[in-house]
Amino acid sequence: MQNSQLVLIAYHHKNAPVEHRDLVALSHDQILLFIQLGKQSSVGISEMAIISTCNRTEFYIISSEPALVKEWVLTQYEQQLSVKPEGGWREPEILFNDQAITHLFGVAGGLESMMLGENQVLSQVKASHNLILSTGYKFPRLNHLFQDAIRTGKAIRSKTGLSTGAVSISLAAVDLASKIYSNFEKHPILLIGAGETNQLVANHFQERGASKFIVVNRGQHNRELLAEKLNGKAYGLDELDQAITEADIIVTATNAKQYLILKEKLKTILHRRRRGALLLVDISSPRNIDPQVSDLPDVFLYHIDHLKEVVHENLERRRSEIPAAELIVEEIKQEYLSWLKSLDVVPTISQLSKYFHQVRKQELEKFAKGTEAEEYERLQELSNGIVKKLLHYPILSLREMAKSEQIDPGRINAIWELFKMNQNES
Amino acid sequence: MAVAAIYSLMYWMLAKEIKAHRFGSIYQGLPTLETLEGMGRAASLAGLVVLGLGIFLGHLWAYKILGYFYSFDPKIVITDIAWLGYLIGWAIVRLRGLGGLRTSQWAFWGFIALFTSLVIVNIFATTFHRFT
Repeated sequence: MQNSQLVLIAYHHKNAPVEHRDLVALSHDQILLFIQLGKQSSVGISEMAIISTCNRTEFYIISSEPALVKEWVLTQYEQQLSVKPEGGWREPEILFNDQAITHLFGVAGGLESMMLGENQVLSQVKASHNLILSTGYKFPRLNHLFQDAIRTGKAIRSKTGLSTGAVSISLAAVDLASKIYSNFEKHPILLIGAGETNQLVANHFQERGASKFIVVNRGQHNRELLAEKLNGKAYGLDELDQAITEADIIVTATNAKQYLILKEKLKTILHRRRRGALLLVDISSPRNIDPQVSDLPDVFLYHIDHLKEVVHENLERRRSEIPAAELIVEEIKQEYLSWLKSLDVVPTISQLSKYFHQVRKQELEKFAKGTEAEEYERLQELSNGIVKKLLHYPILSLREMAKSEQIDPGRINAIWELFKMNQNES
Repeated sequence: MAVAAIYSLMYWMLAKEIKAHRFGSIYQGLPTLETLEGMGRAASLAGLVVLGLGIFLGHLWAYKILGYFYSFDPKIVITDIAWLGYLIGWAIVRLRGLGGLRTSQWAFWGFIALFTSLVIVNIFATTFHRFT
């Protein structure tokens, strides 16, 4: 245990293309298989945790043979899962101890994500932690490490702005709408175009509580398909005016080469509509909405460039939060390292305690015969109390030594030698 | 009425920022347009009821003290006209389901008009209705 090291073997979006990441991605059962194989391995693996998502597959391994771990992992892929990339294995990222800890905390905090500050990865780290807990194996170091990683992820999200503001066009559209409407449930959303972009926008609106959708599309099949998915209404392009009258939010994402919504037409519709604000989001290129419509009162128009600007500003804001997030990572990493150091004195404490209690038992046994049970019990209590008092200051001193990160190997060895304790028994 | 005017002004400012695609402190600091509109409406209704009740009690009090229910005192006439104006405006908005920027602007300027006319009456016109 003394020489065990934390090793990280990682394939992620920074060092492997999607094909390679797909190849090494592991299912729940495959992760469990790897952990079982690790326990039986010949490379001194004592603990293992794996994070496997669409963007990363990362092995966190504690091993006494860290240099052999990479080969072991790749061999298991080939032998157990029959996975062998056509052009050979890409070089994974390999990090040890401190760097591996920083990496994991960065992953949990969203610092290592493709989309800086994204939230989903924290649930994935939590899932990996739950998985190692479910194996029934005792993985004290990784258990503590993952707990701290989750703590880091939460602290970064609550104390910095790393995860705030939309960083995709579709999310930016929803964010802008949420400055106009408090509750999307009662506001009909008109989607002009039934392609992938509008599906994504609709999903984001649904996540925020929207339930009334109208789909307008030239092609009948696609518009009905999307309307059915969203439990909404489907209109043909010739019924666009009616659809606009019913809507409070309009999103256009089509390939049309001309404006579908013109100022004068919208003015007439607004006269009929007689409601408050109308939000128009034009994600099409070329644009589908006449930019002059924004001259009309209560009409708020955003087109793709505005959304890109919003996304860019949010990304810049997130980037500016990186130093603050890194400080949190460093702070919690130091706490973890300090805890890890305290583990160095655990064998000495346990052996010392074992030795003292052994002596106590041996001496007590001399009085076992010829002593009444009640009296013997009192003797046991007395001797136990004396041993505890005798151990109190040495244990306290060892713990403080570990806490202050000033473990003196000479003093530790002196304890072992003084009491003739055997290192192999610990 | 003053509270409704403040909400209307906030609505107006935020709408202007959204239209201009500015995401500064006004954009970040204010609640949604829908919330501001709802609060403005609630404040208008509360103002309408409280002011209406105040005017009615004032007339009753005048009848008790002076012996007549209505006097063409400039301050009373302006207050009654303003309240009626508010009532008609509120009914139109309610019945026609109107909302948005124009409604907010009416609420704001309506209050400014009421306040200004009362100040002018207090300064220039002769009125028995003074608290001295």
